Amino acid sequence: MATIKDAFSIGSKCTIVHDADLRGDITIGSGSVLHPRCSIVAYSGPIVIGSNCIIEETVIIVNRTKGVMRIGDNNHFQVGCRIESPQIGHSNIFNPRCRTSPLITIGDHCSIGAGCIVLPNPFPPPFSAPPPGEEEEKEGATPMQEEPAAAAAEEGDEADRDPSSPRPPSLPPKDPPLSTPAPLPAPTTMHIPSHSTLFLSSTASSPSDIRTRVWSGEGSGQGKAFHLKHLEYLREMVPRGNKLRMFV
Amino acid sequence: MSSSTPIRYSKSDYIETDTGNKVAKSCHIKGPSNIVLGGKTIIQPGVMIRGDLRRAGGSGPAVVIAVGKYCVMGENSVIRPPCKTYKGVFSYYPMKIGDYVSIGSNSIVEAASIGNGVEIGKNCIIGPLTIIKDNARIADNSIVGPGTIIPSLGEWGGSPARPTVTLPESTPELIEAKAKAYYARFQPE
Repeated sequence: MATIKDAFSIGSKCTIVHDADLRGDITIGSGSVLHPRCSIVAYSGPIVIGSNCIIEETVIIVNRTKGVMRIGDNNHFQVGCRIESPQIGHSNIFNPRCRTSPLITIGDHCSIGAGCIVLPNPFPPPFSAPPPGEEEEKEGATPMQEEPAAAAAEEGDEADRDPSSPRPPSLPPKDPPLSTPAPLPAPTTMHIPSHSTLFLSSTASSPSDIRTRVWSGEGSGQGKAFHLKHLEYLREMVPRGNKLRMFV
Repeated sequence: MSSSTPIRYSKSDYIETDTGNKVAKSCHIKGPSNIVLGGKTIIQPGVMIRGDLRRAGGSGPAVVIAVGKYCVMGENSVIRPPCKTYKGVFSYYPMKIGDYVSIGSNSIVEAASIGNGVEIGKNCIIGPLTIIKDNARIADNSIVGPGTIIPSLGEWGGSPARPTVTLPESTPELIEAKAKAYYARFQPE
């Protein structure tokens, strides 16, 4: 397994606490605040985070794809999030313990509700039945394993691997049934449009069963001011209670 | 399982204070001088407590997080004070946790105040500025929205958390006994 090479490019006025875990090729814009125990891991590809972002404790921002992961300005990642989206816009709020899949891109001014697991399909596809001509082999064929909702962040990877090993179109009846599952539909990236509010409905069957509402944009001035005041506070108070990590 | 079976912990994993607080060494406690533990409180491994987010504009000693006696903070939970803007001034507000409170593992608690005898389940998210009155119960995996006021003797659950049942009137005594018994059982190897 290749080791991760660190390459940090940290903007001015960033406040990064010394026990924040930064690994890989990371660029952080000016003015951002990283709380203790957050993790930014550019595992395969680089991560670029914009300016004035607030990344709270136990947040995990990980890039396991080869491409660049771009996160815009003024985002607020609250406690316990797990972010794998390759493209995130500006001024979003990620409420505690939400998770975004690598197949999701997020616009601006969105609010991802607490505990939501944002997947391109709320319900991952079940195994597909084999075509009628091959019914006889059915009992040996392994059905596609359905991912539990809690492991849903891995679903993007599984879906990536499977289409590359499709079943051959015709099967002689004497051969033992193949154990490779039927090909899944190609994974599609879903974009969360700007000004969306994602939340779990009270009748949600699982954390990935999410409802969406469009925000009118009312109160965005207050939101912006709140974010700026929050940043000012953090830049003043976090260094008093914590040792900072200095980047040259 | 008998209720007097000891729960063993390794003595090297915990720090015991004069007042009987048992704090795991692997906890991440920021701003420890701003945190008050009432006595005989157990803080399990991996808990993160943000005592460094204090009130803006204040100088000198301040209590950011005040915890009562016989409390238990479950593993890997995050306890942090809530923040808001009041009259144009942004600040983090002190958090008060009462006696006999147990917070389940992996919970994120940002409440403004938690009363006595409250039981918070596992994997809960308690939103900012919530007020949980005495002897309430929050079920496992619930998400309590910001600013919620949870009345006494109520059990709330789900996400967003809604009231489910009313707890019996014997709950305060039961919770107090349970908390004290837990502390008595929590013994070093």
